[in-house]
Amino acid sequence: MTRTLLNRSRRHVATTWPTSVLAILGLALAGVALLNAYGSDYVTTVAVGVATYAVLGLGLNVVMGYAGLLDMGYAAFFAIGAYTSAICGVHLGLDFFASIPIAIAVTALAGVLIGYPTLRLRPDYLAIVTIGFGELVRTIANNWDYVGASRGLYPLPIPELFGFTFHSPIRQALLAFALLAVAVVLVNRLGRSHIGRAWRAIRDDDFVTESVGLPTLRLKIGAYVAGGAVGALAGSIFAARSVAIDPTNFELMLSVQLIMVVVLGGLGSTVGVLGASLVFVALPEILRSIQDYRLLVFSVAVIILIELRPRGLVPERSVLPPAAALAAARTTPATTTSPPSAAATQATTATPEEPAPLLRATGITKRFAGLVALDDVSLTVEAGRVVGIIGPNGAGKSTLINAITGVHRATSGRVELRGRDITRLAPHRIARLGVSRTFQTTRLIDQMAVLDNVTVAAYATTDLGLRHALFAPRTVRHRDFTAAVRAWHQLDQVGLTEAAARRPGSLSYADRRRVELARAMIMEPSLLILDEPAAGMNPKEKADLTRLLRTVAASGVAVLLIEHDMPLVTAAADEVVVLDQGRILATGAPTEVLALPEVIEAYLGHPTDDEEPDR
Amino acid sequence: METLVQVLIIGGTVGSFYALVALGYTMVYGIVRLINFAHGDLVMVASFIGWVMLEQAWVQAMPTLLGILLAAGVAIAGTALLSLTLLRLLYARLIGRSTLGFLLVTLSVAFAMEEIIKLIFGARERAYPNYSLATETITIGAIRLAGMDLVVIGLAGTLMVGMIWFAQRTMTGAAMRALAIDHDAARLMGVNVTALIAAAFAIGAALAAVTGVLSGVYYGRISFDMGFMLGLKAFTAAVVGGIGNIGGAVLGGLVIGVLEALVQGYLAGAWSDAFIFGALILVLYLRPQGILGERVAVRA
Amino acid sequence: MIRTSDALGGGRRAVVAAVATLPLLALAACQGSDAEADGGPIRIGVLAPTSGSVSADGEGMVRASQLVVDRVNNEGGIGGRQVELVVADDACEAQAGTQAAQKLINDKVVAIVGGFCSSATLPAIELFHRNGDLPFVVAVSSNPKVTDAGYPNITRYIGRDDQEAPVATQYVLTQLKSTKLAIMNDNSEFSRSVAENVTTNVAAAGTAEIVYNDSIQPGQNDYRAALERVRTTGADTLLYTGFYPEFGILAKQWKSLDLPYQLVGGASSIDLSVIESSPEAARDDRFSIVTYPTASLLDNPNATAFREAYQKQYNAEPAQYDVFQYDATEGLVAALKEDPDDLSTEALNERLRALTFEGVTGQISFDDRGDRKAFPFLAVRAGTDGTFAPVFQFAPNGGWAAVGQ
Repeated sequence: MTRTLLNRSRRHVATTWPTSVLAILGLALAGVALLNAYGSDYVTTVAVGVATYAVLGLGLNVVMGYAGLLDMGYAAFFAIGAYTSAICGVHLGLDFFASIPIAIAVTALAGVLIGYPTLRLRPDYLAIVTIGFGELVRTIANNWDYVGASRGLYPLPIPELFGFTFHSPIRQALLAFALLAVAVVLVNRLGRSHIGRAWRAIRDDDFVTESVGLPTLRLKIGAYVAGGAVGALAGSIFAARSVAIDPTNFELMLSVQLIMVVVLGGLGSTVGVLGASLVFVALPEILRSIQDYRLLVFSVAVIILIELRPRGLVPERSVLPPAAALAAARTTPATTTSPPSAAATQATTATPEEPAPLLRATGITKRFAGLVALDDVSLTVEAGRVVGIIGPNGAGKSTLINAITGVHRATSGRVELRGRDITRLAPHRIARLGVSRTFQTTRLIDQMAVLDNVTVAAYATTDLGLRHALFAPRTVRHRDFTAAVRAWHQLDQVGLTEAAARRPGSLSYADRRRVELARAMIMEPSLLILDEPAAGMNPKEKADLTRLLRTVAASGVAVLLIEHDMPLVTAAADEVVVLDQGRILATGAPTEVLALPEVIEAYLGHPTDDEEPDR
Repeated sequence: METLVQVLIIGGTVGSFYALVALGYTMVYGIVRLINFAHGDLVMVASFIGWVMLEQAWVQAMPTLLGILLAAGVAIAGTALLSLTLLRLLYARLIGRSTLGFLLVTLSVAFAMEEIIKLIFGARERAYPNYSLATETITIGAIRLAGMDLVVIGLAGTLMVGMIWFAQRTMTGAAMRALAIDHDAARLMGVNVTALIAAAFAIGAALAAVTGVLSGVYYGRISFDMGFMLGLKAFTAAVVGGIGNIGGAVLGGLVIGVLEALVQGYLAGAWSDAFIFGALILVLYLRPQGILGERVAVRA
Repeated sequence: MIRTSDALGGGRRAVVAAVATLPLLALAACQGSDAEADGGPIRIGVLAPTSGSVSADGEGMVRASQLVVDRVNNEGGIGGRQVELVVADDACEAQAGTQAAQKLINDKVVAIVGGFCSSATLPAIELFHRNGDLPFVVAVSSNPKVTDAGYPNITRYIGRDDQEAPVATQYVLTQLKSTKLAIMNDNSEFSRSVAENVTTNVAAAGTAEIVYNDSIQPGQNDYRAALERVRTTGADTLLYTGFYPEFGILAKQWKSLDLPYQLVGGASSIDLSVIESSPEAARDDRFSIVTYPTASLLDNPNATAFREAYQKQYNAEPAQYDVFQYDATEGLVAALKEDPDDLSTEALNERLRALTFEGVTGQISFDDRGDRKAFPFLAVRAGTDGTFAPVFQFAPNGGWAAVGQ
């Protein structure tokens, strides 16, 4: 396994970004040179069409491939970009190159306006709203006289840069390929950055991603807008090479075809998108008879592909830093971000005069459609203590955790963290304040390596934004490495460094729980909530877990432990809270509480039906 | 005033068609929580099945109403069978596993069905036989209505009542409602989820088939690309009314239909789709759960 | 485990890249054959939408041109050289139109005939102009912009939207005696353009007022609300300038609502499916379609000969606009034949403009923009045999008159 990591490291080093930027620009230029030498104007024109399509595909890939959002109105971004550039040229007399940033800005604004209300909702709502958005944009273009209504804008000025005009096909190819190269570089940087990894995490499980402190709504809007901006770039290219644009260039069918191109190219794969656009645009030029069957062939291909290999033709590979480097970095003090710095945080925030408990929940009541799941539950957890919550299935244990972590907002009551009201905060905000959790049924992101699963949670404490992801790859890479080192360290703590490069799906149940624990710990929590962590563990593993919990608590972290395993609770917890039918039945030291007759009755007297699941 | 009433009734008819499709959407969505993009195209397939039947000489020899009922019956059976086959072969393994995969597959199925119908029947519109009952008018004062308007509105109303009865009073309906609230819990309570999903798909397909044949008989023209937009608008109707809610689907359908007719009759016809999708975006801003629906945000 | 998939991934990446480059290589390979030399065939480009939503029309155009070319080649070609058609599919859209035009330029055709959808024709025109004013004989695109740019290489065989509009307006005003006119379009470029021009012409005539002028959204099933709205305006005539699918619905619903105004369809509203879906409406004497003639509606020896030849060769009826493509190809061949030794673009462009001949669609000659001076027009309605029959006829000099008078 180590050899594997080392193998990967060579690739990792070989593709440092500036080199790849040069390589991609070089490829684009070589393509233009080839076209110039061997391609006729016709082939060149087709190549420009391919490039336009490829840029569109790349942009849609950010939305769909990276973030997993189905945008069925992507043509709208293309339209806004093309129209903005055309308006700048025809009405405002602006230079083409000046129009590109304007086009991108206008598109981004539209993206936020549409994305914000929609992305809060279920993921498939985006599909329907974006169709509406696409039709809306086209209808406006078709009826707005300023943009020529159905006639469109005509003739569009020919772009010019320092006296060099882009009038011939080969010069348009130069422009289109250069912009394609820019798009490839930026989209790849985004994809490889912490933001890209966060998007992929959202794509595979946005609930978990939110729970590890990442602002999923903002990230989704970011993906939608970033994808839209690339679409605007494609629109500008289209306006630059077209004599005229009119609303028929931006119909729903274009969005649908683009979706198929991205899916067939492989979700998240740049090379795949380039290849698929080439096939999609150029193949019908050779085999004219294919044109009429294109949609059928592509639809059937998409169906077969998804049924057989849901992840697309070209699988994504996650590139991990070399194991040796990670292990070595751990020993150097500079990069050792000691895990639970929570004690320190705790010391600074809790003022001595007013010792607010770390967690205080008061009068939590939660109703689901008439059913009372929690009834006036109050609970206090002090830093450095382990509090066990026990109770029969259906007692409301998971509901309580969901109320504390913000997954479900309590119907009434108040949750405070170090005296601060967190009742109405979004889950990722609560997580960032130092509350991390594991899940009753483990939730790991199966498409990512174990190390990445842990690393993603470290992003909650990173403040790098989009600007860095696009323009400061070195900084991002450095921070990424630091995060990976921390993740490595956490995996080491739970004894799983050998599994760093494996997929979580291949791990045993107990190991998956340990990965979850490492993920929770990397967030440097001041409150750690564990939902049945011992399920499926053997006695030795349980003993290890107990020891680990005590160590964590000793470092100043408060632990909330939901567990059915009484010996473990007795050994690990300082205090036990018994829940029954949504109410607190008893609180106190483990041995005392477990001896109470009503507790015994509660456990034995109820049939074991199912616990409320995580959501 | 008469014109307004007349336009409202026209909107009611158009809306009833949307409502019938939206009912199917809401049933399926209520259970699997996924948009089936191919649903609208089931309407199209059904209308073509109906057309093929009604073009047969032996069907044309039958009394008109009997022929139409027969065609509708075959269309219902055929469409339900198609829907169940698609569910079994393509959708089932994606439900609950891959949202994006399901959406993409149904989208592709929609276009594959359109392209196949286009290959078989051509891109040109097909005309249903010209029935006199489709053009019969009733005059009340200054208001002229087609008799079919009443049939369509009545049928949508009846089916809605039937569906509500089904959901409230039958075991299957109760199980479906339970499933809509919580999959895992329902499964553990002994609900056969697979069978229920199949039932929802079949009922949805049957409603789509009724819509397809009815629309062919009434409006007379069918084409391979008639279904997709209809499906989208019907889904919009279901969302506006409150997805998962039977009354909401019908209400949403009527809202969309009446809006369409009002825009056409009083504002500017070119903008009618823009109005519909604008209304959808507005509803999602202000009341994401729809008019009659419960909350749909991923988390509250 | 990851290493295997990694290696596979790398290999697959190369395969994908290789497969993806194939189309361009193949494209580059198949464009090489230069038949430039004298003695080789004369290449004529056909720009038509042979795929997409109007592929039937595009295929028809190719057939019409092929008919002419086959005849010419049987007669010994032009100046001893055979004529060869190079078909380029514009798919009725701008991007494909640009590529198709570039393909024709590349294939070194002497001239191009065709052009159906204006959205594809316009970018093509710009390209032909930029490539030394390659002669483009436009058959069906009626958008005024086709000739408005004033390029010397364009001749057009169909009327302009703003030429069609006055004729249609005249029909509505003089033959239907409309004083309160409603105009409805389907929001497409063609339809809106005609509607706008009719509006201008009606205003200029001053004998009628326009009481309604709006679009409908194509693709819907129920336009009764719009039809009702027209009724409330007190209109005596509704002129619809859009395409036939919606016109079929309008006609049916107009009939069933028994509306008090006349219904007129424009040139794109003619299709047999309109009769199929509502024969009662199409036979109503308040119903008509004002249109360019289709082959079956033309009554002259050339048209009869064309139909017979077309049916013999293809065993099918010509599509609606095939007659214009046929005449356009005939015109181009005539210009080529005039002086087979000088096929330079300037000479060809001059000769194409100067042509005067009697085609299937009547007398053909051009003004100095390249637009046709006079073109045939008819008003039709369903006859007893279930097809359209002319009821009024437009003579370029004499105006409208009832057929048979």
